[in-house]
Amino acid sequence: MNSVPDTLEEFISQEYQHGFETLIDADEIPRGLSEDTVRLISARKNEPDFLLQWRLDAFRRWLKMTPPTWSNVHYPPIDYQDIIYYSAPRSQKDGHKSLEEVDPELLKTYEKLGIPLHERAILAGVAVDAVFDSVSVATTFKDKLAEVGIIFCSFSEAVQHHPDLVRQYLGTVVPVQDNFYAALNSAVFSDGSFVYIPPGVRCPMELSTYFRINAKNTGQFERTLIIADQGASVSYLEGCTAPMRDENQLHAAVVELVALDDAKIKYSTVQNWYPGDKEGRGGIYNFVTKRGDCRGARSHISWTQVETGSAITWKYPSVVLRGEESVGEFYSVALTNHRQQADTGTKMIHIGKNTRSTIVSKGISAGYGQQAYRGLVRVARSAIGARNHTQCDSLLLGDRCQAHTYPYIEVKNNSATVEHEASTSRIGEDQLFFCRQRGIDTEDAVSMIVNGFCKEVFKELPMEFAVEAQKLLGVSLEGSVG
Amino acid sequence: MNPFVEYCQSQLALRVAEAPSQEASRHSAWARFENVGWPTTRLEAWKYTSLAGLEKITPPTESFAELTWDFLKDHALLPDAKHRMVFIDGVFHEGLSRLDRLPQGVRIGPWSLLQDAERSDLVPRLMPAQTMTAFGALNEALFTDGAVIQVSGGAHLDEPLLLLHVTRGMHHGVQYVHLGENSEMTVVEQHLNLTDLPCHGNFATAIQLSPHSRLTWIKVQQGGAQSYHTAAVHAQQQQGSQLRYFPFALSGAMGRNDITIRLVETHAEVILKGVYQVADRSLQDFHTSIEHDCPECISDECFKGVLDGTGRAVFDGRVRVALDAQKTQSRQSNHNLLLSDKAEVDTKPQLEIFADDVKCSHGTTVGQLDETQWFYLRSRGVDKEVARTLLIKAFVKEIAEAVPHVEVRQALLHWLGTEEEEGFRHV
Repeated sequence: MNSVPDTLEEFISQEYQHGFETLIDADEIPRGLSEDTVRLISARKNEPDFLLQWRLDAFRRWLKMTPPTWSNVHYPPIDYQDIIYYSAPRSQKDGHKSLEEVDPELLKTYEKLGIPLHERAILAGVAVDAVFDSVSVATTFKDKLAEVGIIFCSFSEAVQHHPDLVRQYLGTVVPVQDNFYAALNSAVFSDGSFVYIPPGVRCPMELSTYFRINAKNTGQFERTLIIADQGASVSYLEGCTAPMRDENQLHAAVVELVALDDAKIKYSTVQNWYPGDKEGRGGIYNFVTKRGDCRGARSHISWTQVETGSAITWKYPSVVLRGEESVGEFYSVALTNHRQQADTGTKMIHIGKNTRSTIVSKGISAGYGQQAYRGLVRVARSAIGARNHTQCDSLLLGDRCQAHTYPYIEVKNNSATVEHEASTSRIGEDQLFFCRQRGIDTEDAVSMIVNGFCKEVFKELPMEFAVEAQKLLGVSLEGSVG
Repeated sequence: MNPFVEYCQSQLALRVAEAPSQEASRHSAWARFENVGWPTTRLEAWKYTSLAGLEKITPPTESFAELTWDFLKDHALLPDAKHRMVFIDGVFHEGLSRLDRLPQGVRIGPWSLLQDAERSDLVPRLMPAQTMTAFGALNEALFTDGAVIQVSGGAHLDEPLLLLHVTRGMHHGVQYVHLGENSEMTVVEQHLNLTDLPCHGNFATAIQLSPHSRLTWIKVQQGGAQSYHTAAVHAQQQQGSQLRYFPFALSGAMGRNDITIRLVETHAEVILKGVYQVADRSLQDFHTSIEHDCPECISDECFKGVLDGTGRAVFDGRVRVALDAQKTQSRQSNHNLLLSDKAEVDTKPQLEIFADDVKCSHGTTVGQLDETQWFYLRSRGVDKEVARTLLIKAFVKEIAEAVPHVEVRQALLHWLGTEEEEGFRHV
């Protein structure tokens, strides 16, 4: 992530870089899931009663639901009783006043990952909320942001200090019964980030959350809620890593975005959970529900994702375009190598007049990787003048990988214009030949071509992330060409 | 059990009584239907297509007048067809058909006139078209008659064969086509429902193409306000064979076509191009699946839809490229013209690719009449209604023009009203 390999050998020998484990004393609750577990988590976090009731309602609904089977991913049934639903570093008490109070082991972890928790860090100008297993360990630049009225803190803190905001918006974008994993998350979510941008404020720096799964046998269930009030704007980044382990770990997150009139939210993800080894042992199951709600007129929500990690990715960042002239965007690069599986895409629900959406999805499949784009574009009868353009391209490297496209297009309004195009191909021999001829070795040539293929998406990423994403692609593709 | 299924069950006993030798297979098919169950919108394959209308219908009780060719030919796509088979209410009508001028090597006849041995030989060959859906199972349990076409190696049917199905009640029919090596023929399948009374036709078509054979198939569906049509087509193509299949769903309350084409040997080629038109309270649904099981095959699929009034259309196109089916070329497109603010289209073009050296693409559009084209016509003084009709016709014309057989193409263009009209040459 932070050093460029100089030689080819170095490049090829690169394995998953963030596979180390931090040995830290953790406070865990017993394995298993029941109403008591939900109550225990809620009590640990000292939550108000409304939230406990909300969790219990979600849990009761979850009991009646079954895991989705329609997606094109295969995994053995998950034993939900065999997971530890809450794990916090022992030294973690109710939030730290300053970084000095944070366990140095933890800080080292983030140092190793290249995440600037120290406010003096190189990437100044980025405020970070670091989530370690079930809790947020540090949030930087809080005070500076508070000066302009921005609330950027861990979800637990938000529950304590801004319960009204939480109550007003929590679950309004992704209802508790939305789907199996969202219901599970609603019942047991432990922490996450909370952002509120007051009316007319343009967030002065990039906000970012860094998720780290460390403890064994745990699941990570975080919840992020971002609210951009009228005329506000914010750019938010998210990164994820986990240690290398032979067992599969579950990560079921929910992200809710709310954009009011003229607000703009840009949400970027570089997901690099541990993908499992070459034989498909271990890795994270990444079952995530992300949805944005363009509630206000002329609001704008943009999702950009680079998905290179996880054994299984199951996520569909969506936008509900309710406000007139609101805009939804989805830019995605997903890469599956070895035995990775990804079923990802987006939903654009056009409800308001003159709403627009753009979908650009680039899938790269190598080795035995399985990949599916699954998207929905729905134009309601009320969405006069709605406009959508979708482009899905797949690049295949190797004759044992798969690439599927399942777009759903539902149009109920004749003034709407909807376009969808998709193509699937492999790296052209002529392109490779051109590079080889000029003395560029195959590995670099493939890397270049792949980066060119993804350029449209990378240009949407904030600068630091774009650089990281390009390197990540190179590393993840290592060993996939002859 | 809904009235429709109840009626079907009453028919089962009748069918068995007619031909006791088929009792076992009909009963097992019925059991399969009961096992699959009546399709509901909870199933992915029926997500957008409700059968609420069909569930309620039972066949009309009135008796119909005897049909004559003089009457039918005004409605037939090829009124002067040299070879024709006419099925009235699911049963072959010898008097209206004409099969006396078939060339050597071409054997065409109705199922009802086959010997028992031939029938039991055909039953497994029809199966692929009948196993896919609940309606397939119903078809196998209840079918009354059908066209059996066998063309031996090297033979060639000089002129298109017209298969005319007139359905006024609720019937199930089959069609079987086998083309020998290097043989060639054109089939025009036409479904007519001449009344506004409730009726339902359910068809299963199995097509087998031997190496280097060429089949062109044009299907036209027309029906009244309460006419329902369900059909399954299963084609299997051997090396270098070519299938050109053109379905035109023009009217009727509801139509559902399940088209599966399997390219099982190299260099097979399929062209699948169709048109659906819907107006008030009607729905057309096309589910197509092209399976590239072998390397070096080509598929080209294009469907165009015109939606008016409260009409709805569903397009679900799947292209599957199997492991090691390298050098596959596949194109798929679906274009929809929404003319009314109450029309709805649900389209789902899917690609499933398990090989890497392939060229596959799909494209979908949903839109309205092009404003610049509209402006062009209007600025030249073309009346609103005329301009609208002209643009709609131009939109669907492309499909009809792909039909290779001159006579059929002209009939289709005439049918779609897209002949060049004198007054507009200069526009």
